[in-house]
Amino acid sequence: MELIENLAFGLQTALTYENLLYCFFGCLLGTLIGVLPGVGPTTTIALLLPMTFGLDASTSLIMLAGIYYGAQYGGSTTAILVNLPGEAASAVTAIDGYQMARSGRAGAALAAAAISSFVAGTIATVVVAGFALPLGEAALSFGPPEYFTLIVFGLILSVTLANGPLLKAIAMIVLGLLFGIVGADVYTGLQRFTFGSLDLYDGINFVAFATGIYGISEILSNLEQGSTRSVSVSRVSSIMPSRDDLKRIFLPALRGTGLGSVLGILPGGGATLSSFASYALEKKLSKGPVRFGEGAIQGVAGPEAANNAGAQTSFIPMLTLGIPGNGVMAIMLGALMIQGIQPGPSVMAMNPTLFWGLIASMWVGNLILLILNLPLVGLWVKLLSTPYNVMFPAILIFSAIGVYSINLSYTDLVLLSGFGFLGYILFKLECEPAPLLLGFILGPMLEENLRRALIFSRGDWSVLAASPISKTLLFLAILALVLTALPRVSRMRSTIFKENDE
Amino acid sequence: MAELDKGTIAIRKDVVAGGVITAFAIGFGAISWGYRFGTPTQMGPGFFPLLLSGLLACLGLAVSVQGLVASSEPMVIVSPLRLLCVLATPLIFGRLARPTGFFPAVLIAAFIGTLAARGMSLAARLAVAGVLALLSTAVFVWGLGVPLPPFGRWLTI
Repeated sequence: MELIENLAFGLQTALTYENLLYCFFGCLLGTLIGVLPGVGPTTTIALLLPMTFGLDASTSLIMLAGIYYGAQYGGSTTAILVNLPGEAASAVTAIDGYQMARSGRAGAALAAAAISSFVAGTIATVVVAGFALPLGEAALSFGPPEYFTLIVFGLILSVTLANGPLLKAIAMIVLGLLFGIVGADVYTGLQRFTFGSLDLYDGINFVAFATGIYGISEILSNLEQGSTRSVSVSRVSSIMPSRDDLKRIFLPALRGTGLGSVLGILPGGGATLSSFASYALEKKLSKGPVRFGEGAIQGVAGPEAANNAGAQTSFIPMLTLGIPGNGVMAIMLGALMIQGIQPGPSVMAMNPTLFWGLIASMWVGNLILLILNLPLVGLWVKLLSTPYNVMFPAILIFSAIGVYSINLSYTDLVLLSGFGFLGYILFKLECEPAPLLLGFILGPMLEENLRRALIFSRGDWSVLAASPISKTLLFLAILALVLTALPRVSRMRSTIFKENDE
Repeated sequence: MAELDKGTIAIRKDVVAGGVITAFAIGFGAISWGYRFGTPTQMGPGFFPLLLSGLLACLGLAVSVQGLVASSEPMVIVSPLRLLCVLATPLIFGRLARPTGFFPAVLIAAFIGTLAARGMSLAARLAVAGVLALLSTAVFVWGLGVPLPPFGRWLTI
């Protein structure tokens, strides 16, 4: 079967000494920042982007991917032990996981999380591999009008599925699109919005943008009065789950994997949405013995499987179509572009080592994480007691150095601080940063495809809705908008999403 | 530094949000106005940005109007001095990196950064700054090979 061949080929790449090393490093680092509240995978990946310059393309993606799903593992650990989810996606795990820890079953909870995540990761790897080929082929019949409507669809869907009020999120997208346009216009060479600065010729430095909006603004919000962290950690006794536990983990983990795999592919989906949905599902289906909210192991297994599956399958649209579905994928796209690789359907054909190597490495990474996490729990717990006063200067300095080291440009640092300030303001005003990032990445693509479509059609705007694909996408986008605007749905959204997204 | 934290302000979030959005729309729009608009077949550089600015302005106004129904809510904000310390850190690092060299630049910038922390003694701040400077130099200059001299022009060694 072609699928098996491709996966085997990918394993060859994933298991080289260098890639294994960086995969390990990524998983370790990911777990670490997943454990530490206040630093998320988006920020970390943005911070490490400069480091990936010197690396091979596959290696850098493998490492960055490891950080992303590693963070999901790490987030669960803090959620269970300390009731402080390190990641938004682990918020639901904290509900029953912490209760289990309080009744002395921390070990079983941690094991449930790790095992479900591993099962999900394995299955999701196959899903990613399986979907890649047909989606890639379908994408070849995409012309500029289809890409235009696809991007519009992706942007709209990402705000309907994500947090926050609709109007503001759409405004964030448009603002992001405008920021993305800064720089030289490809067609005419005219410098747009650069105020004569040569440094802005290629546009706003993506890393400065992302690190500022996420990292710096996060620090600012954590420095507000009254944000203190009191950590009381539960003790962990035995790690091995009982046979009963294993029986109760099985089905929720499978259901979580399925749910996560589907929701991860949708724009705006990914780990967080999947885990919340899984918790809701498991709660409905649960027949005890323990009630949800009081330490039901199914409430840990399902969401953990879902968030891991969601994290991995969210790579699919980015890898096959070149359209990122969430903030992390947008940064991964940035990483690919830094390496000089134009993401899209051609990536599979032109860079098979990168593509299949990355997919295979996801499974390898999950294995590493499974082995890594259980023994290292004690270490993570110690790290949680690092005072924030020591951590934030470190993050601040590393961000500054990281951004500066890209171009040795002072302008980039001004952008970093500037966007940090803007990010903080937006956060206080309850405007979501993720659509901003998505718009920033997709702005140039949107304009390019619009231009091309209109040139080919000689100014006929209806070309954008001409083909069946375009019509479907536009219809779905409008449907999503209308549904979300309806009062019933918007109430549902606000009850499901109470946490801030990463 | 505890008195710095009287940081709460009362605003109507959505009204302000809409205002910020509209301000950006006007800014981008005004600049795009000066670029050639062109026709749909031959889109000029100003076409797309102007379109987007217009859309953004509408959205901004809509958000503000929506926000008028709500009442002013008090909101905690970070103290301005702390904000300044945080935002200044990268800038100071950038300004000092070449003249003084990497190590002193990180040292000074990190120290400024620690000023944003609350409840840290001077000794602790200096210690953190020192450790960070050492660690960064080790990791970035010696480890990752960032092309900046550890000590620079002003401190000829």
